Amino acid sequence: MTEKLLQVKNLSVRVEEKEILHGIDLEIGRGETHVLMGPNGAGKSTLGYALMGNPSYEVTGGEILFDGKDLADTSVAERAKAGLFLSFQNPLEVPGITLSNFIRSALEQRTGERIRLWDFRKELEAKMEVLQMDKSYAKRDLNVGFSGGEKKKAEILQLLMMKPSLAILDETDSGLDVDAVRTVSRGVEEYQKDKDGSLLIITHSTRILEALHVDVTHVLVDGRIVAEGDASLVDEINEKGFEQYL
Amino acid sequence: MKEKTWVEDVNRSIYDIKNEEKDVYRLKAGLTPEIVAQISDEKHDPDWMREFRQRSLEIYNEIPVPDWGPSIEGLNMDKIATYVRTNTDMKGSWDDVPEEIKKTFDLLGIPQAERESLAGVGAQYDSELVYHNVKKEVAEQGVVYTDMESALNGDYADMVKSHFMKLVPPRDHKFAALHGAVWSGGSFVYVPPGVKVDIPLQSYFRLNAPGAGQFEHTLIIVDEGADLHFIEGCSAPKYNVANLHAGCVELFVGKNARLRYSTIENWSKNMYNLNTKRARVEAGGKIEWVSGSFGSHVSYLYPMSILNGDGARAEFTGVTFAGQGQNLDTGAKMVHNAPNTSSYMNTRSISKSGGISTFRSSVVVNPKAKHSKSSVSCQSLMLDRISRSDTIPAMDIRTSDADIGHEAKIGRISDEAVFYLMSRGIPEDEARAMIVSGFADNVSKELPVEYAVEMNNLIRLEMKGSIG
Amino acid sequence: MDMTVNRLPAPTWNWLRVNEGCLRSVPVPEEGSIETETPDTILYSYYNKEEKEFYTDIQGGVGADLDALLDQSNGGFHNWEIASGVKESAPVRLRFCYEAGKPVQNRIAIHACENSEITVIMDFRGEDAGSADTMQQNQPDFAAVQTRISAERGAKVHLVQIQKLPESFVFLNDVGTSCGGGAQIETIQIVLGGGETYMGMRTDLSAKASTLESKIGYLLDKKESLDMNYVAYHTGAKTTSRMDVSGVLRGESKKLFRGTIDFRNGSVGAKGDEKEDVLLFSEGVVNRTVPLILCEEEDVEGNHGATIGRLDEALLFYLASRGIEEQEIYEMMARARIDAICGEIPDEKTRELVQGYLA
Repeated sequence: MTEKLLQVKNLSVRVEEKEILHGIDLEIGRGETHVLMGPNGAGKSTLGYALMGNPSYEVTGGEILFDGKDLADTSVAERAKAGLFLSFQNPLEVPGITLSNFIRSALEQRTGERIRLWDFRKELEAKMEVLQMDKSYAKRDLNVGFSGGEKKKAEILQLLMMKPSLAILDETDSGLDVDAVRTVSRGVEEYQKDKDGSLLIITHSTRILEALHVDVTHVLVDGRIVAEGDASLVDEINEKGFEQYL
Repeated sequence: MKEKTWVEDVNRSIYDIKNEEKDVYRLKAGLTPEIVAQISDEKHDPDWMREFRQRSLEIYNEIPVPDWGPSIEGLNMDKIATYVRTNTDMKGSWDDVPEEIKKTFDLLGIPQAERESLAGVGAQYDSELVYHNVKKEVAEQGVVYTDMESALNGDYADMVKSHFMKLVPPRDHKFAALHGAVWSGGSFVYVPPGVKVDIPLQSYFRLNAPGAGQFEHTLIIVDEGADLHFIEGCSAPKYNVANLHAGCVELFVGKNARLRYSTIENWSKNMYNLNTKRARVEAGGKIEWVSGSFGSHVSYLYPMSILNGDGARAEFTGVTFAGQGQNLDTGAKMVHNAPNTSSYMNTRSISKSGGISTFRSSVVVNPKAKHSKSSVSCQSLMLDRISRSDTIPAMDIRTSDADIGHEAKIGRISDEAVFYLMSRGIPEDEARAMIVSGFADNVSKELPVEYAVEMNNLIRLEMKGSIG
Repeated sequence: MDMTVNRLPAPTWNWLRVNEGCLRSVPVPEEGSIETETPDTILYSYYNKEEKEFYTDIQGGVGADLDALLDQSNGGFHNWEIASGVKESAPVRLRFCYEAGKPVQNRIAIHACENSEITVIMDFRGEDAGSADTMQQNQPDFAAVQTRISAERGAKVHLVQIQKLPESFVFLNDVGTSCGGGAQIETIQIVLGGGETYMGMRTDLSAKASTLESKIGYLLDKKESLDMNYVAYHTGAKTTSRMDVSGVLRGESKKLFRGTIDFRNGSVGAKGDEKEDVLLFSEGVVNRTVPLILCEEEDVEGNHGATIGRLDEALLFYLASRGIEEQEIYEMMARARIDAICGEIPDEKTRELVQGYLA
């Protein structure tokens, strides 16, 4: 297969009458890890939402191909079923549905088959151990009363259980302490090796990247990709910041 | 605080100026077909209006007084003079207005405001307008701003006839019927398609006569794509007999048009204010109500917005301050009749010195109003434990495709906030007044600066000497 | 008789038709039978209707017309009493099985003496009209239950009611409570079926620091209607009330929630909170909400919040991004609402009963 997993061609996106992204081109191959960096307000999260198909983000030009298929008329749920995953910067609280039941129904929805409870529980507990999550969280309502760090871990737990082919991590490291970042990175590593998964890591810092192998780095400023390079670009930005692109 | 404007030293004594009745024409108190016919004679009503008044009177006699809301037992219609007029015509220049009346409006700051910040002014004194003028530039845009009587008999007679009391039919409630029978004065505004009036028009209503009623009718038509800000002010000196205000405001907001209707109401505390205001908004249009209720003994006031066209919007921002001897029942009504409509209500009520304030509202979303949004936020502040504050909202939602939010809060001034301000050297009564003004800033922020200052002065006036 | 019930404590515009509920030609019900289960620590007794005074001193939410109706009936009332200082975790279980075509009523009294703790679980179910006795077919499917709770100083009362009645039933469910100092009232009511249901609850928080926590969950479908009138009447200092109402309307169902927090003079330092969350599933539904806060005391805090309509867009997107279709998200969230309330029931058996109804 020579075809890239994700192809974004000249993508423009509008939010509430305002164009945020102006002609983005981006390609991600299978098993590759890409980093999207940029200052606050550059449009990084907008790209993540647009890829996932958030109805409030209107694609006004260009196209998104995933696995060779145009996603234009694909609903959010269909994109998820096709293998896209977005880890939210601010995951929502869902009272009345436990974390464990939620992941199970999402998996069952995807496959259309009942999942054996025992197998599911075993896998869930193993993944929670990787993420150093207390088992009791499985029985708590999804994100309700979770700390910032626990919410992020719950996102990565969903990632590990759902095994998508492309995971978009939107500021997964923001607001976490050093230990939590390390734990989350370990989870992301597990995903990389587990399924040869592709990654698009959106961040404006570099902490989460320290332990991960990076293939390509993109720099987004004011809704445009202004620079691209290999992992060394991350270090460069780490040193000099974004000033040179502003 | 910076208050370098003409209302800087507002005080109650200005509102309380009483002019003696001399050289006035006053109809006998009470309500009979004969009195109503006399009003018709007096005003040279066209035939349809003569009949309309008589029919309204019949409806008035059929409909019972409301069985909810504040008591209006102190109001005896047999003692209210429905028509009182000074023996002067409406003037186009302040110099021609009788001296005493001109002086009253001067003290209220109307001519000065006209010079500085208004596109046109109408001034009503008791039952009739004594002054009406609109800036030349605005008139040249085709904007019509005139008194109702001229409109009824002039070039716009057909337009008046086809809109008059169509939004608020006499059957609506008892005082709408009363209005239909004895209405007098008020303003007519027409803004042609696409015309944007940059600075506001203002009508000011002054009720000077004791034991009288004021029944002005305001009819505003903002045509497609046009834009207008209309300001209404009202005041009266205090008498120890009941006065009645039963005005009616009908607003027609065309496609993609916008109308902002601002009111600072400061009736005296012997006034029964039974006013009806209603707007109909076509597709893409917007009505914005900004409403400050400070005066009157009893008020029933709930401006209604009927969202009839796709994407029509309504906003209501209000503050009500009920002090000693006041029972103010205020709020708003929103009716969603079309898809993609939205309404937004944000109100504050303050109760003090035994005053009663009630926030009353309704949001109705009909099955046709798919994808509509409504949000209501009402906050009440109790300044002591002898006052009363009630919140009575209702929602009736008949489509699943709607997004409705409601929030109500009631509480008191936090001691910490007062302490904080006092620790910065501000005396306690001033600190409390500042906090109350801040509480009401949802409305003051929406008013032109001069009016915001006047409103804050009214609040300070109410707060003064309240610490005991 | 004709009845006016669930009267709004402060009326508003009549055209909204929320000021009261009206029932026409209500039959005079007989006293119905109840299956009961009472722990040994709790004393059960039966009184004739004239006998016990505290019962009639307490007002309910449905109103005086129900008292008048029940006074015409032959029945007395069942009384469960728990002695001072006794805390019983095993519940009193009451099971009401209503028959079609046989109008019945019951009056229940719960008397919790000082510093006691009692749990009462009521399970309302009914048989379908299809199996009705032909002899009685001209009688409507009607049932009424009236509960009066007297919680003395420091007592804690848990009341749980689970309602699953056929669509043909008209059901009146009235609760009234009086509280001593520091008494705690916790109620959970779940409505999963019933043609025309009127529920009223009035809690007199007259003694210092007494508290009410009331949770209501409902799933309505077809032409079912639910008419509610809840009043937290604060006269005591530092009293608190909390009402949480959450439900789902499908089909052509109708719901009217009247919730009143009434701060009277003397309720210094009182707090009242009302929260409502309604999910509307289909186009034919009618959802009405009238949340009042009445206040004549300065030092109080009252809040009301409501969200009505479809699911929040951000939440929809979040759940959809995990591969769940919109229809399924709504189903999940509907169930989640009842699950969240069900989880609070302090009795495993009852939680299972509700889960069984939902499955």
